Amino acid sequence: MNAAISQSQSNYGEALAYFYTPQSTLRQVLGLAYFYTPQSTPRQVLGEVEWHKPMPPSEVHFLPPNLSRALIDAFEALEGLKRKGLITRYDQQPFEEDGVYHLTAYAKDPNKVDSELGHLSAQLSLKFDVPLYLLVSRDPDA
Amino acid sequence: MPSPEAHRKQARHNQEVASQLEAVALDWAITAYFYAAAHLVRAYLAEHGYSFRTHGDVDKHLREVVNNKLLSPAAYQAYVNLYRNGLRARYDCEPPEELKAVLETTKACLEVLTAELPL
Repeated sequence: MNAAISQSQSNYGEALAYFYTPQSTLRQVLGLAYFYTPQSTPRQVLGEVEWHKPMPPSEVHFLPPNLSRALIDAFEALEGLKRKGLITRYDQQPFEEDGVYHLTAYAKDPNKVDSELGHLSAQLSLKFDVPLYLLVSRDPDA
Repeated sequence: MPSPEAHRKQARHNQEVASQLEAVALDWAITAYFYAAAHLVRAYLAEHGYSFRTHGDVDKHLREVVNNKLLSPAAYQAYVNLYRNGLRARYDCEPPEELKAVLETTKACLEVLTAELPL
């Protein structure tokens, strides 16, 4: 069982590594998210979990399917905002805290895009039934 | 878990404190306004039989009441914005002049929320 769990975690590591790859397209991310969902959770694969490695609260090691789908829409919207010059960049991975997922975008003027990101946050969370909040921070390099 | 009335009392207290903090520290005023909203929605959820521990629990229940047409999407968005603004005020170390706009949107969001969930 331990070997199987290790394999599952290893697979997920590959998923995250792929997720980070700048060249990966949204479609590829979607495919991976779906592909890895069944294998990523020891409980789903193995039934009862005998051991579960504690994870820091700031890292998301497992993407629930709803979150994967919400992220795809989020990335598309963020790309649009980037093209408009409202944001300069955004994180490729959400962080989880107290049961809420957060994804940060960076802007030269956060106040110009805050309202749009707030609207998107509520829209995506309701549409995909997952708490995904898009945050905005000043880009120190902008 | 505190009673709905205890949550509502705390919400009113936080709003009063937030109002006073506007003259002293915009970041903490924004934060206190969020915690007014946080207790307000907890009062509402507790009244409707929901139990919760985390912000994630609260968000999940709020989405459910929105889906059941008991709360508007606009009120949910207002709550989400209050949460987001609280995070930004606490962690982004922005100067007061930058936070003035955040404070205004925070207060506007609380008004939207309290229009449906009175303090």
